[in-house]
Order: sequence, then structure tokens, then C-alpha cells
Amino acid sequence: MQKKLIIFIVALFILSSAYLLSVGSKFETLNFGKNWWSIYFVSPKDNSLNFVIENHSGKTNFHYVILIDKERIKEADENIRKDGLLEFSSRNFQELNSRNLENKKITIEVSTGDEKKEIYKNF
Amino acid sequence: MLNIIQNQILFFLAVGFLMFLPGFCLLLAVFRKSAALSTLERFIISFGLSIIVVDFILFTYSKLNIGITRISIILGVLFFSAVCFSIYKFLGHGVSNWTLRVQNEPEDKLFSFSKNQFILILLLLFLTIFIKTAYLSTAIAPTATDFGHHLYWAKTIAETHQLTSYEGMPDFIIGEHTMFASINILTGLNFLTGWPVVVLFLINLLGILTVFILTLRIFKNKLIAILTLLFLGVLFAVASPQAKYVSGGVMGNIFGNFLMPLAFYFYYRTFEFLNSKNQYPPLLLGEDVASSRQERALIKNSKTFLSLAVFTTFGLFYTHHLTSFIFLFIFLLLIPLFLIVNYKDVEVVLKKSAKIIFSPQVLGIFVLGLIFFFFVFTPTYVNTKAVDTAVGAATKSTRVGLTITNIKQTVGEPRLALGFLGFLLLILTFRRKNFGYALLASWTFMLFIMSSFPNLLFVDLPSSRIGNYLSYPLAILSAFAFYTVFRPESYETLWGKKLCEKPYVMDKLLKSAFLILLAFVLVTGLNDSAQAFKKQAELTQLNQTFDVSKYLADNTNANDQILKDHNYITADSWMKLFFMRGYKYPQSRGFFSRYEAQGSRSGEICTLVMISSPGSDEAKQCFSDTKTDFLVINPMYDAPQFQKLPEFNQVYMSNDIAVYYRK
Repeated sequence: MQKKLIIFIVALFILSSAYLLSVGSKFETLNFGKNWWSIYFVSPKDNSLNFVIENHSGKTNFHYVILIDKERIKEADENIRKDGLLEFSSRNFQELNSRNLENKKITIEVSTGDEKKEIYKNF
Repeated sequence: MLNIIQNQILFFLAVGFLMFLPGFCLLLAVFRKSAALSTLERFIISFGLSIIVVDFILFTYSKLNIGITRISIILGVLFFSAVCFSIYKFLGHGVSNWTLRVQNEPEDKLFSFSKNQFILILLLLFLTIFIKTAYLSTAIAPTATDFGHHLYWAKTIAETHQLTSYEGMPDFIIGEHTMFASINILTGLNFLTGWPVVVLFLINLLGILTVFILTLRIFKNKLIAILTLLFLGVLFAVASPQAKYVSGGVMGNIFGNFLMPLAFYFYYRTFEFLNSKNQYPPLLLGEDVASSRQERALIKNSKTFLSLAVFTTFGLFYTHHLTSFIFLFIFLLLIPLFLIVNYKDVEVVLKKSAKIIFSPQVLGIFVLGLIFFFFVFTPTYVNTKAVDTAVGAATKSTRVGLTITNIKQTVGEPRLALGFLGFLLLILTFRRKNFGYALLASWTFMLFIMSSFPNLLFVDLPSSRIGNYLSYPLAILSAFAFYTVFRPESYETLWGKKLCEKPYVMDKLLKSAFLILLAFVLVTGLNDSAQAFKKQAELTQLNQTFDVSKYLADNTNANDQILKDHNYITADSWMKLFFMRGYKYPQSRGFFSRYEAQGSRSGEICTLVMISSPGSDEAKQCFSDTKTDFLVINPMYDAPQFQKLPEFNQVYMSNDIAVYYRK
């Protein structure tokens, strides 16, 4: 009887643990709770303006604007699939390369639907 | 999918290898073929002993400067288990058939349940595991602050391959982290994947099962033991210190609530022979049995049990300071209480106890434990400052004691009421030679005094933390009360004779009362668990915290100083596991109340002002002093003060996290 009891305890524990571990396994890949998106500079510490839009939401159409202080120098639409990311290199933005950015604030504004986020660097 | 299955198999193998094998082999070695323990007891106890054995193996490695690696852990556990198994195999014939027979008879009766009892045990265990699993499945996400702190240390041990000194902090104890580090080293499983919760869940269940076998031994009554499973396992299965502490990573309490009852179990078994009138020939009634084989066998077992009790006590002291502190206080009451109630036989009790206490095996384990404690690996909390912190007049309002209402909220109304009744019944029916009665009385009474009137004992610790321990003895006493009240024949033991001949009306009244009380107990106990399911894990915020942690870990180095906010960022304490640059890295803005005059951070204003008012002169001085250059905040609450300052770049932005870089 005691052996049956031990087998029952072990079996029940293994079953419940297997379930819990399968629930917990999703946290390893950071592949869960997806309903958000982010923007960030690829190199936060230097003057590089390369940036990334990372999408973990259901929205796929993104609009970005690059501003020097309050002047819009570039804007475009991009389609980024769910769980995808898109890196933008500042080398592709002629306006940024040709201007003197001393004492300027470079802002990247990204919007999708009603949501808008921005990142910036002060030169 | 295949990877998940493979990881799970690996995990279960590691748990079996580390948490069961060494303890099981140790029991084989010390009890050999003796039947002093039932199969169920061997199974439960093996886990507790394994945890402690693995601790001591790692302490030995630390002293010998042997790296804690996959190979060294496997070899250490295998070597220990092989030695124990060899002792069992080659010296296992030392126990006589007579001893086996004497010991087997009562064990067989005590642990053989009727069909209905067996079904009831299965049902209660199923409910216990089911309710906890259902709750944990919604709370397994790695968000709890304590868990993040603890697993940082476990990961430190796993990555550095040596035990940590906790940067001098006395709040952490090595035994809380060795098992997690060992499992990680053996399996390579990521700390974020929920397996630490499963390990704590297992230890929590083992604590409940330990209380079950302890109750069965003390009362020699299966129904009381089964009822204990109801009051401790099923009812309030989620409330602290049960599943909530498991998901919250309150490791010390979970370990403590397993190791302390286990130590009590061994101490009880040590002195069980004093209460052996019903099982064995009496030893305290003046009969000259000193030279009998019976007594020799019992005394031998008692010595073994006391050795294991001392071993477990050292294990407890290596695992959790608060539980150890409570354990000491309970013991300080238990010993004089037991001697006082047995004052008529005190000479015999002391004489027989001395024979056990001053035996080579008990003294050997005690001395070995002391050598380890003071010369091989000393826990960080062993210093005078820690004693000053825990002893003295209450320094905070949370340490002045709990009211009855507080205790009711902590342990649950039915458990408090029935537990109190059980305590009174225990006193009324006190069996002075039963060490278990004195143990239960001391366990309950001391916890009650420590949590409700700490000033009487000069205890300066959070009262609610101590109050949580009350649920364990109160669950046993509730079961005892429930059984005593609703088993009319047990009135005999109460008053010495039957109160009535159980007429029809009395019988009906009793049954009605039983049903009403049972319904109240079940509804209250299960409703408490149901309430806990309302809270859902904040997975979206959690994902962002981990994402930004990875971003910062990739784009910063140890020269960068990061300050994050604890108030509005989910699972922020887990960020340090991505950096592994020290326990206090990244810095943290704590709860605002902690910066007030009486708060723990009252003298540490920088982490507050660098986020709350980054443009102030005070903050500028702090930035200069601490070299802080990255700040991680929730933009809903703290972005505006940074956005107007030109020295800050906003370099990362998601729904709930923003990162600022100070140039």
C-alpha cells in the first residue's frame, strides 16, 4: 500500500511538474506575452543614429519620421511583420549625413495606429 | 517540442540524482536492514537528507578548492552514495531478526491504511497538488522579486564554479542556493524557465508529507494524520506560506518548513522509546530491562535518529536563519517543558537520554557539524551584527507583534479556531511521556508568543514572517481537535469516562455539527485559494523587462552603471541575471517608503533623486559619484523629467520601458 502511495505521489508530481515546466519553457526564448513593440538605437553610447523597430504586436504598418530639432528631414512607411524587426542605417539618410548636427537634437518618431514612440540623441 | 521533453527528462533525472539518491543511500547505511522506518518515511526523508548531503559535499569542495562542476558534482554524489551503499551491502547483517520483527510489527500496523483511508489520502493529495499546480501555472512567470535575488546567487555559484560569500551580506544563506546551482550545472537549464518553481513546489509538498508522518507518529492515529493533509495541504493551499511562497521564491521559508518538521520528526523518534508503553515493553516502570535486547535495539535506533536529527539541524542552520532562530526558541521551551512534565521520572529520562546523547555517533555528527560550521564553511549570518539585528526591542512597527485578527488572516479562520481548540485539548489530554505532545505544545506556543508578543522574548524580527510558521502546528492541532470532537469514543481520553451513551439525539446533533463545521472549513479554506486565481501574470511587461535587459547587457559593460526602477517595472530584480555583474548591479530605486526617515534606504538618497529629479544639484552630484550613465524607467511615470534635460538621450522605448543614457 505504501508503495502504491509513493507511486501515486511521484506520478502526480511528475505530471503536474511536466505541465508547469511546459508552461515555464516559453520564458526561455522571450517568446511570450507579445503585444508590444519597441524602438531603440543600435549603439546607445556613441553618435550613431542607426536604429531598430522591433515588432511584437498585431500591427504591421509602421510610419517613421526623422527630425533634426523640429525639422522633418525624412519620413516613410514600413511594413514589419509580427515578431520581426527592421534595422535602419543612418548612412541611407542623406540629410543626416550632409548636415552639421552639432548642438542638434535628432529624434526618431515611430507610429502605428494610435501609438507613437520616439527616441532621440542630443548632439 | 522534442527539446522541451528532453529538458524535462533531464530535469527529473537531476532531481532524482541530487535530491533523492544520496539521502536514500544514507538511510540504507545508517539503518541497514532495520525496519525502524516505513517505506513511505524512507521516501520522504531521503529528500531532506539529500539536500543536506549535497550541501556538505559542496562545502567540502569549497574548502579543498575543488571547482563545482558537472563532473565534480556527479562524482561527489556517486562517491557518497557508493560508500553508503557499500556499508549497507557489506555491514547490513548487524541487525538481528528479533529486532526486525519487533520493529516491523507496529510499523506495519501504523502505515497500513484501510481501503477508505487510502482513497481519502489519494484524494487529499490529488487536491493538494491539483490546486497548487493550477495556481502555479498562472504564477510561474519569473516576476517575483525574492526569486530574482535568490536565483542571481544560484547562477553566480553555477557560473563561477565556487560557493559565494554573498558580498558580505547576511541576508542570504548558502543552503538556499546550492541545490538550484547544482541542478543548473547538471542540466544547463535556463533559470528563467520555471524549473526553480517546480523544485520549491516539490520541497513544499515534502514539508506537508513530513508533517503527515510526524503526526502519524505522535498520535499513532491515522485519521488525525489524514486530517492534517486536509488542513495543511488542501485548505489554504495557495495562501502564504504555501503556493504563494513557492511562486514568490520565498526559499528560506519553504526549505525551513520542510527541514524544521523533519528535524522535529527525528527528535521525536529519538525520544519515542520513552513513550513505548503501548508498542514495546515498558522502559520506565522500574522493570529491569536494561540489558534486554529490546532496549538495546531501541536505544541503538534512538542514537541513529538523534544523529540524523543533529545532521538535519545543521542542514537547517545552513539553509535559513529565521527558521533556525525559531527552531532554537522552540527547543528552548521544549526541553524544560518535557523535563518538567516528567519530573517524577526525570532521573530515568536524563539517564537514558544521556546514554543516547553522549554516544559516539551522536557526538561524532555534532563535532563534525561544528567543524564544518566554523572551519569549513561558515554561513554569512553568523556574526554579532546579525544577532543585534534579530534580538532586542522592536525597531519597526511591523515587529511589535500580530493581533488575533492578523493571525486569523495569516493562518485562516478555521485553522486558528480549531487549532486553538486543539491546543486546549492537547493540554487536557497531555501525555507526559509522549515527546510529541511537548513538541507540539512548544512549537505552537513559542510561535504564538514570538509572533504576537515578541517584546516578551526580545525578538526584533518581522512578526508576520514568524506568524506564517504558525499554520504548520495549527494544522496538526486542527486535525487533532476535529478528530477529538467528532469521535465520541475519544471523550474517554478527555474525561476518563464517556460523557453519555450517545443517544439518538446526541448522535444527530454531532453529525449535523460535523457537516456544518466541515462545510465552513472547506468553503473558507478553498475560497481563499480561489481568490488568489484572480491575479494574472503581467507577461507583456515581463517580456519587455527581459528584452531591455538583453539590450543593455549587449550594449554596456561593467564600467557602465545602470539604475533601474523597482516601483514601476515588472520583474526588475531578474534583470541582474542578464548582467551577472554583482548583486547590486544594476542599482535600484526602491519603494518610496524606504527612503523615509525610518526606511531601510533613508541614508541612500542617490537612487531616488537620480530618477525622480535628475536635473537637481543633488542628482548631479550623485551621477558624478556613482558614475551612473543608464537609467531604466517606466515612461508612463518617469519620462518627463528626463525629456527636458539635454544631457540625456532617450535610447530605448517600448510600451512600458524607457532607457536614458547620460552623456
